Amino acid sequence: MTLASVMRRAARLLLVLGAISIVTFGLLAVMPGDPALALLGPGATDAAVAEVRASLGLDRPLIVRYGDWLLSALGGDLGTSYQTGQPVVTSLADRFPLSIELVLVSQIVALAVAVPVGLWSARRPGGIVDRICSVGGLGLLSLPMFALGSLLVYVFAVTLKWLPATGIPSFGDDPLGHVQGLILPVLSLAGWQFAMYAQILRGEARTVLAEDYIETAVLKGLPTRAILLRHTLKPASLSLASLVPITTGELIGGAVVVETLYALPGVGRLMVDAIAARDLLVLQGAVLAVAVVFVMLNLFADVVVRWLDPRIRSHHAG
Amino acid sequence: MPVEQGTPSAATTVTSPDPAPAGTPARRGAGRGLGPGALVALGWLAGLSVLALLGDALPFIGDPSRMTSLPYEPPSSAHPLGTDEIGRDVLSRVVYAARVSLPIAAGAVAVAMLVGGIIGLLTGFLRGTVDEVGQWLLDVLVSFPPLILAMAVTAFLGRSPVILAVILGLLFVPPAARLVRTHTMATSTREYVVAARVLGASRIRIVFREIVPAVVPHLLAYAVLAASAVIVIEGALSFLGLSIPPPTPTWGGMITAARDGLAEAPHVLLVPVAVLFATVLALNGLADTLRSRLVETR
Amino acid sequence: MTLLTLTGLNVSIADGTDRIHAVRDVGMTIARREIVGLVGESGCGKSTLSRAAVGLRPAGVTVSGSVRLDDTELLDLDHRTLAAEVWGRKVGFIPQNPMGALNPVLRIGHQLTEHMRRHLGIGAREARTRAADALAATGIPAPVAALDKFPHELSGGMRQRVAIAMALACDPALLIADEPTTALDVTIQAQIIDLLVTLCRDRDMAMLLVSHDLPLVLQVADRVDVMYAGRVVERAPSTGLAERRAMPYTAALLDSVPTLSGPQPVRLPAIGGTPPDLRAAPRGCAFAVRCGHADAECATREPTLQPVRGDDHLTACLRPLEAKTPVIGEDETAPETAADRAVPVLRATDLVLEYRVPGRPSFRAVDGVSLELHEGEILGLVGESGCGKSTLGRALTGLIRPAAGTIEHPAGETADVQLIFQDAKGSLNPRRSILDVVAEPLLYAGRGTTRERREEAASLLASVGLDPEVLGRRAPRRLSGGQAQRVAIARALAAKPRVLVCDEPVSALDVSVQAQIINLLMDVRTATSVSILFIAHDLAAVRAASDRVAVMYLGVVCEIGSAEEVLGAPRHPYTKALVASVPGQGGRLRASLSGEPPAPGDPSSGCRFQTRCPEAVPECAITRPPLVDLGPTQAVACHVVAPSRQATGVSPS
Ligand SMILES: Nc1ncnc2c1ncn2[C@@H]1O[C@H](COP(=O)(O)OP(=O)(O)OP(=O)(O)O)[C@@H](O)[C@H]1O
Ligand code: SF4
Ligand code: SF4
Ligand SMILES: [Mg+2]
Repeated sequence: MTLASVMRRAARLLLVLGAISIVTFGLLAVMPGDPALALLGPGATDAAVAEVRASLGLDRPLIVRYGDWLLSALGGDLGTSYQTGQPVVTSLADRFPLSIELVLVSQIVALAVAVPVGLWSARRPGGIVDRICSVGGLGLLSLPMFALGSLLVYVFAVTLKWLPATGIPSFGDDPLGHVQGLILPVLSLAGWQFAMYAQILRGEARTVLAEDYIETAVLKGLPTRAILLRHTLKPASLSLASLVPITTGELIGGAVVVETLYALPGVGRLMVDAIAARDLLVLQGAVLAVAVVFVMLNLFADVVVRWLDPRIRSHHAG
Repeated sequence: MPVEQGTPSAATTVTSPDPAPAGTPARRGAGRGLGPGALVALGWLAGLSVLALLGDALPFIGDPSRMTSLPYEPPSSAHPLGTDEIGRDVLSRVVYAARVSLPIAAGAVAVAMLVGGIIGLLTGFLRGTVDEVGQWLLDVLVSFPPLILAMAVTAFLGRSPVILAVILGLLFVPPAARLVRTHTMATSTREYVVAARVLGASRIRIVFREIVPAVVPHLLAYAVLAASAVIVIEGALSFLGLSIPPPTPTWGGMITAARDGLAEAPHVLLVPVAVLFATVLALNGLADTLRSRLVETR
Repeated sequence: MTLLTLTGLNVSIADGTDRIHAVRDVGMTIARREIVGLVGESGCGKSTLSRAAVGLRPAGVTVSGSVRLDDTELLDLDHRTLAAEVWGRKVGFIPQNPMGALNPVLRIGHQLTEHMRRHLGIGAREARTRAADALAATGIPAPVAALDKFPHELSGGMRQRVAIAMALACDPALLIADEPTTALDVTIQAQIIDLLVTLCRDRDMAMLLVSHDLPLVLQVADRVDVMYAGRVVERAPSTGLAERRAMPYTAALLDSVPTLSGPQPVRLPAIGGTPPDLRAAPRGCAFAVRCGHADAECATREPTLQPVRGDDHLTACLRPLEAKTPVIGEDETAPETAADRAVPVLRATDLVLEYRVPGRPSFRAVDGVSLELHEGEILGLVGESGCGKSTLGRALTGLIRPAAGTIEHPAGETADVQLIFQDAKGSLNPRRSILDVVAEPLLYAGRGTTRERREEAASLLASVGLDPEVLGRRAPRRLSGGQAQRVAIARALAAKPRVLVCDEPVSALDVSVQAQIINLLMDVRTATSVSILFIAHDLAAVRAASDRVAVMYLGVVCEIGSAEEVLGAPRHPYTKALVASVPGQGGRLRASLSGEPPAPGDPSSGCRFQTRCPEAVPECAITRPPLVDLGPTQAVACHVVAPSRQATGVSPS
């Protein structure tokens, strides 16, 4: 990539980040009713309300308030939770690791199963593997994560009692318990991802397998394994990588659901609790943080696709 | 979330670009008959809509919030699908929950297709600055994970069905707009559109007579897929307790509430899960059929 | 010594619920070092046969009969054994489409070495050295550097050389080349064919050369097999086949191909109709419905391959032709056309056309072209791909706005120029009936009621030889390529144009259909006095169709004149090379030009052709040669052939 294209990309990223900050800030600003009252919750004293109003600077013009808010956000100050009195940034830092672990592990599990299944069913379109994969995939794609998760709880926690239904000890305290506690949440998250990846890969691999260059490779006498893994997977995985924005978005949403379902202390749970308690600064901070992470991940995926695909790579250099 | 899939092609050998057409019987009767799977799906969706519409005018269906029996009753003749944690009729509740999900899905899809369709058509046809600005706006919209944005907005703005439909609809504006833009651009460089330009067709005529008819079928196929995705997201919101507040029944809310009685009364979980699953599956299956039909007939 | 023996080979392909019998009862032998050509029109089963001949049986394809390579029966081997022992090792395969035949995301070096390492059991380093040697043998400049490139970084010709190197890498005894040059420009095609033949001779390889181009095959193959509807219908040594052909189909194929030599026919002999549907086995001779020589027996008895003139000449025909009997088409005298009066209807002066790509310098596709189109004439425009032919054509229709220069319409308006596309089917809206498609221009012009428009469309359809009753209500999807091109012509005529720009109107069509369309265009010209700009890369087709011819190279016109002058006695070095590269003029086909055109839009000074010109002089690198008149109609842009000093004072016509 040339310097110019890096600059263009960076400029675009800045614009998007700016817009994210405006939207997040705007959430509080356009909220119907008195934000101070909402922040403090019902039953707040008039004095407290007045104090919060002053500290929020609600009497000042919107643009000035936005400037202030942005400056302190950039400085790592997203306000304080009225519920716990903890700085929002601190609670975010506490909660992020578990969410990231959850998302990463389920992503890996989903991909590890989807790649062989997708390739295998593309190899013989209409064959048994292909049919199972397409019917099963459609089914899994149609089973929302909270429904799948509830079913898993019913089967493995309530009926079979193999795995815990809620909670997770930290890895340091109880490694085995941590892994056990992770299994159901990861399965709930990975189910949909797996189906998505397998379906896309299957479609892409089929298209690739019909390309002339596959026939060339076959008639070079390459073994089937090399045809599938080298000549098919690499081109087909390009579209898999370009799916990342969609699947990560889905995963982050899924993490909220799964953390609530299994009572796991992650960012998603933090947000749901904050909404229930109307702890709006926490919610605002979490939304901002999640959106920034999300945008960065997408940018990263985009860069990876560009790097993987030599056609795009040199197109941008040329 | 829905994605435009690549077109799988079954051919592994070279196919002639110009199969002898004289006397060739029409291949695979394109356009006629939807196949049994799609018919079942349509039947399910129609049946569910009718049930939801008629509501307690039907036998077996009563007021969904009345406690008519003991909690966790198994299915019986009085309560064909049993009762829930506080003794309400599960059948009535799943049917009434459709009154929430289906209209919200319909509204959201209407918003998404209308707004996304117009943006996509404008950006794809006009290109240039309009396109740049449009793309940037869409970039902003997609820079929030969908569920997070929906959660945040409903938390701050409230949770009426209209707000839900609009916000869920907005989530699907970017993909709808991109889809329409892509097809608009592809169609306007297609040779038959170029031919129409040379033959003297006006711009308006090109947009409405050549491009729109080519794009709309793709948008419709996508709309079905989007409807299923909206139902899932709305379900997640109600599962989290962030959609229409109780006592109005929702599928997600019923699934959450079933949690505590799983051991003794699994039907309280299984019924809403099954109904939700069947609905989403029906929509996904229909979308698949529509899409492959589009690919086949080009 | 026989290398490959096919006996009773049948191939059928599952197509939904039907089966297509793509190859029926074919027997064939290929001897060591023999070059066998396999020709026939699209869909006759050439590709299917060539794959079955190496034992390839993809899902849905059923092969029966026998395929023996040396002493091994390939149909008894499973896929795994074939891959390990036969493919890439004993037979090399050269695919048709060099753009699609190399994996876009793997480096050339990887694709060249992976099968070498497997078949020859050598290490990565040695394989790389050998790969570089193989590339060098195919004439790739800087082979070592090429190893680290990706396919898209190479031109089509270079990619085809890589594909050849890949096929040769393990020294196979047999090469299968399926249309190895179809996607390439004619000068590159000559290079590649030359290379293939030389390699076969040098390395004692046999080759099955599959092609639809009969003149090309006749020129390079030892023996030719002509296929029709899944069968071999004629087999003969290629020398003298043009005169000795016995099967009416072969004769028709030979006659309908336009040539560069010999008298120019007024109409091309064309084969009517289309090949049969291969789903059901034909009852009599599959060619009977199109055959001008058929009698009653032909419709009931299917002929088998029998010797006709000597043991090495076989044909499947009940009534073989005598040597050299014309089968189709009669000579006519050329009708008077308006072209003879030279009234200009369209004039381009110093036209410059550019494409703007955001973030990159604009790219100049046409760089100072002046042209005049006369009433009722057909002006052929030839040149290799990327030289700016289509851009120029589109600018003349008003689709592209010139960056500089002017386009004048001395006799009318812009809307008087209509366009015909290469992909005729793609140019018809798939959602309209054919009648409505043809009526489109009338609708846009706001003429008449729907009924009247449809009536006019029906008569236009009839005028291009289509039956409006049968086809009028159909969707364009169900037309053949030739029919679709007729519909497109009818539609263009509905706009009552003065000028018709035809952009490669026949290059997607089989020769027999190509001849029909060229004839139709000539008829249309005679009937309506429309002027036609006939853009094509096929010189022979252009010669058959055109009164005058302009030759383009990299955005400039380098020679223009009457068809006889430019193609019969070319003066510009580039035109000479182009003409010499066309197969079918006797003698061995030789590459007359080395190298490839530089990237289009390269803003170097001097003559555009200097990098490949065999006659270049120092002056060529400095100044751009202007078009200089050599006679009343011919003009050439070249310092050597037509020095511009001499030309001063000669007034342009
Ligand atoms: N995968 C396939 N599915 C269905 N029909 C096929 C398939 N491959 C080939 N055919 C049909 O089999 C017949 C022979 O095709 P084949 O590709 O061998 O012809 P060809 O002579 O090589 O044509 P071309 O000159 O167009 O390459 C045609 O009728 C073609 O439509
Ligand atoms: S067998 Fe009859 S129909 Fe067939 S090619 Fe010979 S003469 Fe023509
Ligand atoms: S001007 Fe020079 S380089 Fe150009 S064609 Fe003539 S001789 Fe060749
Ligand atoms: Mg072929």
